[in-house]
Amino acid sequence: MRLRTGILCKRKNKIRLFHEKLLDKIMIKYIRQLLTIIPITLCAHTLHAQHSVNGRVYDSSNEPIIGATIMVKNTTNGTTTDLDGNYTIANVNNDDILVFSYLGYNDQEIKVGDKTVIDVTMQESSIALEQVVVVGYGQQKKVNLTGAVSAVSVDESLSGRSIANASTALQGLIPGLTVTQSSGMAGNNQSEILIRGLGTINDASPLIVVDDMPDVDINRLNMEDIESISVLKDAAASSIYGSRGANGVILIKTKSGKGAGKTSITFSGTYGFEKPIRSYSFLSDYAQALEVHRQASAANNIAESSQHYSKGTVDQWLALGMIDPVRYPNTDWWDIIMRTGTIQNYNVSATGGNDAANFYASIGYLKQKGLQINNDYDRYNARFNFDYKLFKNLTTGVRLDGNWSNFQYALSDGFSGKSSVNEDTEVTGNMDMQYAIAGITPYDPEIGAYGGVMAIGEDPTAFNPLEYFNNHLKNKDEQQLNGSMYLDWEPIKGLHARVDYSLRYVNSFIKQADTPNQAYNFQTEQYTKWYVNESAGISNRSETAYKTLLNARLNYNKTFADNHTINALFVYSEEYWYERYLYASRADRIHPNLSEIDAALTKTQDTGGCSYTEGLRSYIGRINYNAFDRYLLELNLRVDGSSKFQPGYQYGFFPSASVGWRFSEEKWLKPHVSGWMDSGKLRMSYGGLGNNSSVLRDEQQELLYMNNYMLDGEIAKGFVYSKMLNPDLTWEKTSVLNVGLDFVFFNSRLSTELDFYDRLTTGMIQQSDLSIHLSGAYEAPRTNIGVLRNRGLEGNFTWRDHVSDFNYSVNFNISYNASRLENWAEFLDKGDVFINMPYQFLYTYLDTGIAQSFPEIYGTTVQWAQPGDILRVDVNGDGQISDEDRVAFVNRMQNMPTTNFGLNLQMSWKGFDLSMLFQGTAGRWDFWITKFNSVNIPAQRYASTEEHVTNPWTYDNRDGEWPRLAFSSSNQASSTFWLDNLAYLRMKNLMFGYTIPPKITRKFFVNNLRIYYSTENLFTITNYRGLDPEKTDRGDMYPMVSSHSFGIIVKF
Amino acid sequence: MKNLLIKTIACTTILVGCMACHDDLLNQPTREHLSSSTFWQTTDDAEYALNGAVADVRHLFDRDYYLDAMGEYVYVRGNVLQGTASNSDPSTALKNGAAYDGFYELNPAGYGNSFSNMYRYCYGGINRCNYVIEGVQNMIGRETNPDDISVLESYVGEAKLYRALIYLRLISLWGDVPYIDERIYYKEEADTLSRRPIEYIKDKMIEDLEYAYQKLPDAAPKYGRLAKPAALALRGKVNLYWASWNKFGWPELDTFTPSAEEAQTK
Repeated sequence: MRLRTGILCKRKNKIRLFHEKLLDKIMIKYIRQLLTIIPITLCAHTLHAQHSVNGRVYDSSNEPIIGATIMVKNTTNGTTTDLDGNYTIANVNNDDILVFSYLGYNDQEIKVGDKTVIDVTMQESSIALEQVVVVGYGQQKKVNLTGAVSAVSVDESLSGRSIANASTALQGLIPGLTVTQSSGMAGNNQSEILIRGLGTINDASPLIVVDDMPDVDINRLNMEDIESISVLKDAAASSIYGSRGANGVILIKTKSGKGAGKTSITFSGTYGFEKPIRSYSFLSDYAQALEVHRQASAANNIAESSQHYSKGTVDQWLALGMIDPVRYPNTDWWDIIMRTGTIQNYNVSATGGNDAANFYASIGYLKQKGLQINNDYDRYNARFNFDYKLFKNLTTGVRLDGNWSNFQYALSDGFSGKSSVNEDTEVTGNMDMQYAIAGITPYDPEIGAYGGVMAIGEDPTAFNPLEYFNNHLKNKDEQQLNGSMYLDWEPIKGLHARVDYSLRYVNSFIKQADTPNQAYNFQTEQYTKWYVNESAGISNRSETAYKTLLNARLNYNKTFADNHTINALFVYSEEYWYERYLYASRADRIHPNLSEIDAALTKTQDTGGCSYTEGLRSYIGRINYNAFDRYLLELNLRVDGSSKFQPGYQYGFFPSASVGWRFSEEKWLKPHVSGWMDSGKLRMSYGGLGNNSSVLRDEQQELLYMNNYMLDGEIAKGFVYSKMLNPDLTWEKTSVLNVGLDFVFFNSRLSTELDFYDRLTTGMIQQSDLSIHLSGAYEAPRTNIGVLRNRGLEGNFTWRDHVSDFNYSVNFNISYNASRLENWAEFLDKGDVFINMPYQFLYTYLDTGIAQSFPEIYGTTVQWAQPGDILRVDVNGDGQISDEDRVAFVNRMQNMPTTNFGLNLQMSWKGFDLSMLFQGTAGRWDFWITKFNSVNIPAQRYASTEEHVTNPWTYDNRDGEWPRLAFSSSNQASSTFWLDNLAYLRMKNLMFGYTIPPKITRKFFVNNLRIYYSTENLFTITNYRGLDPEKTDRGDMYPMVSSHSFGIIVKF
Repeated sequence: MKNLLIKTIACTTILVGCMACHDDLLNQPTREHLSSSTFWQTTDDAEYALNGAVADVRHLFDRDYYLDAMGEYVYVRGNVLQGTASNSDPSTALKNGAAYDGFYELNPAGYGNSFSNMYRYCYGGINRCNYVIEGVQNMIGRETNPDDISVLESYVGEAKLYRALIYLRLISLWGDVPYIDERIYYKEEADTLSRRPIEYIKDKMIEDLEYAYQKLPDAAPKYGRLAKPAALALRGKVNLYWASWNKFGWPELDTFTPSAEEAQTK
């Protein structure tokens, strides 16, 4: 702290200014302000014609602005306003101009003259016109964009929601962006993102770029660190990412301290809990479940003597189950393995800076406890972004962030999934809630054993979920470190030369050591089957990967003849990937308390390991031309060379061109519309993009595989060339045409964006057919066949206004996408993929409902039906029900909706704020046919639901909603009986917050204190009978979850 | 100040230059599998290639007891694991007896519908032999040591012998068949093959067997490998079959006209 004395006035103003800006204690500032006045008045008479000016700075609602900057134009003489909006600036000449500026407000310049008091009211800058959007390798003003780019600025209404990852936060905000979350499991609840429909039948996910580094995991980012998210949707915007931009690009910029002024520290914390609002209600009454089995068997004419479960077993369970819960359990498994999930998120961040340097630092902690027991996910994030001006035209900076997570789980999808550390091992089939019968005792502490199957006739491999979730845990530790450094040099005005180098390092380690235990039969008082063998072992898997990126770029910006602006960009880029994995497992643990590899015998071991590399070299160029602020032209070209292809086939060219016309600025139009239309722009773009993500790294290399045989008692080592190459294999190419219309009306109150696009993907990679003369030796190579077209419309409408103190904004976005498979070079059989039809359209049998009586059945086509069966319609009239009787619905899609929409409402009044997000889809129809509501139930170990008792058709229940129970029937065929419209409207988020008036909080040195309550998935409106219309996998039975959370944000 | 500026710029340029010297950035051979660019270097490699081909070819002949007693359909307990013949890679399918899938029938329900398996895997074997022949001949072109050359030529001879053996099976079961004697690079080439008359194929087979007779050693290097006697025996067999067909005719093959003088002179 430096005290002001009279001596100071002799030092240069420059140094005082420098020190001023470094001070960050409000108290000190206060004192400083006080003490500044003394030397100035003392010195004033010694300087010529210079005087000091003071005053107050207000905003348009007459609140004082703290921290507004007042500079004497073209000098470094400046100051900032204090807590009351007062400022004093000394050594001001009469002909100086004072520049008043503050982030979010229009600058004002006022000539001093001989005034000593200048009060200023600052106007908010027009958000819609001044908005700057991040695009590939740079940024542009939204009004000058010719490509289809949607931007989201991440503020508290987004980062305050209690969601664990950034991908889920994007749902419902951007037209054309489809976000689907399949699971709410802690640590595995990321969402799938698709931009503008399914671009290809192979990997169609967009490229994620964070701070100019492509290929980053969006789900490990700390939401608090994100400043803005841009979604690049068409060729003009994405072609700058060339061979990976075919599915769109999501650009994320993290916060920096630029323009922050004085340092501010923010602390935020949320605590939320989640509960299931919809799940399968498994029958906990075991006697009744056995009756359901018996009913199904009887329907298939199984005689009483051949029934698995005899009447005696059922009666005994019914009676004794009421008094002896250990020997005759009726377990409700949801009670046992489900708990209230919680999610906690704490963050501390600091930002600050001045003209020479600025920084942003943050630390975060996320702790999530999943719905199922023992599913925990902890993650720590830390970030440090720093920019420093070395010299006048040389800037350097660093972006450093790291995260560390620990993830514990039993089944990889929550209540189902893969059961092994080597994630390519399929689930063995016995770990599934459909086998979790009610007749198993979870655990008896007296005996210390997990229950097994006890009923006579029951399948001994039934599932004890508690045992699984306690004894088969996997632990995954993952660390990531991302760092990038840049150097930016501006040798001549307008020309920037920049070099940056980034490194992303990931390391993960998964460990599994199942606890040996044996099931206990409490009725016979004996141990029965082994849930985990005594010789069960330990397995570990370690994966390490790093990726480096080097960018060298030149950017020149010049305005000619006042009205013509040209911006030229050239980038050279190199990317390199390296991955390695190591796997080890041993059987025979020496003691159940030890769980490391060394604590197991070496008799049975298994190991594996390999490394993989890939490289990409690119040349990128872009030219922007802007004439008269009305005519816009942009040309992009990217040349990518990838190591995935053979020399001679490695390079691809991805050009694009786009034009824009701001017709609202035309002289002949402007006078007529300037009253109501602030800005109108017509834009068009066309370009080519590529997608190389489905090409494997070694797919184009001629490889030999081992093929040995025994010769004379020894192995004769041999190698064969069995994977035939297709030398012509290349990228999937996409060309996109986009036409858009942007408007801003009524003084920035209404802004609309409309887009029409046509995406054509050619050369989709698929397995090809092979002649019989080759298929005896070779596996067929993949070729580029298949042409898929996606056409659609997008609309984005925002209304922002205020009525005195009440501010509100409404955003509605909607998008519609239709696909068509135009060409397929090989034979396609009848199915839901067909030429000139939408991709995966609805292809179904028709039916007339459930048959009530035999006479009704005799009137229909022969299909071996009984009363209680679904009667299908013989559409083609050939007298039998076969695959040929299926009907196609061109407008109904089975796997993906055609229409997505979102409605975002935000209101604030005085200190209160309320925001609501609704999200929904339409156009998807699917069958409610899952293994949990099956009417063809297996003979044994089926966990029926309560609907299995009340819904199936029987002679006593002719109004039953389901067909009759049976072992096997054709009632599970995909017919319109099971068909549901999966359109839904969901209240995704409701957030209610209150900001305590700054007058009160500033007394405690707090600038801003906000508390809020937020809830996710409050309700869903849909006609779907199943679990969740959003899920893509029908067999996924993870419950639909709603969460409620409280949070607080404190800014110092 | 300016000095420092220049130094900073210079350092960065050097740094970038070093990093840009990643010339082989686009050359990232796989580390998991053997790449043919690092193969075909020594005679051992040639032997491995030959062994790989033989490992598949032997399964075309290892269940010939199915053809015992000239029966068309022989009752056996079971052959290929269900569903593996078409889905798995050819080598695994062959080990499970996929080639013989059409040679046995439990009941006549699928009357002969897998017979084409033998056809398919015979051509698989031929493609394997062609691959070995081409690879080893390329090595011979590069090799200078005469000992090595003779070893490599014996491998070529052995591969040609196997090829002739497979063609004998093909023509005796299917008559006129397409003839492939080169490695196929583009899969479309195999889509337009046409049948050749058996005389043409027989001549080619005899050529292969002559070469094999020249180049194979007098005695097999290991038990189970082939040597000169094998080449002679097969040549004799081919000539005998040709003579028999010519003398006694082959009525079912309507593209073949027996010629009595062929039977006498050959």
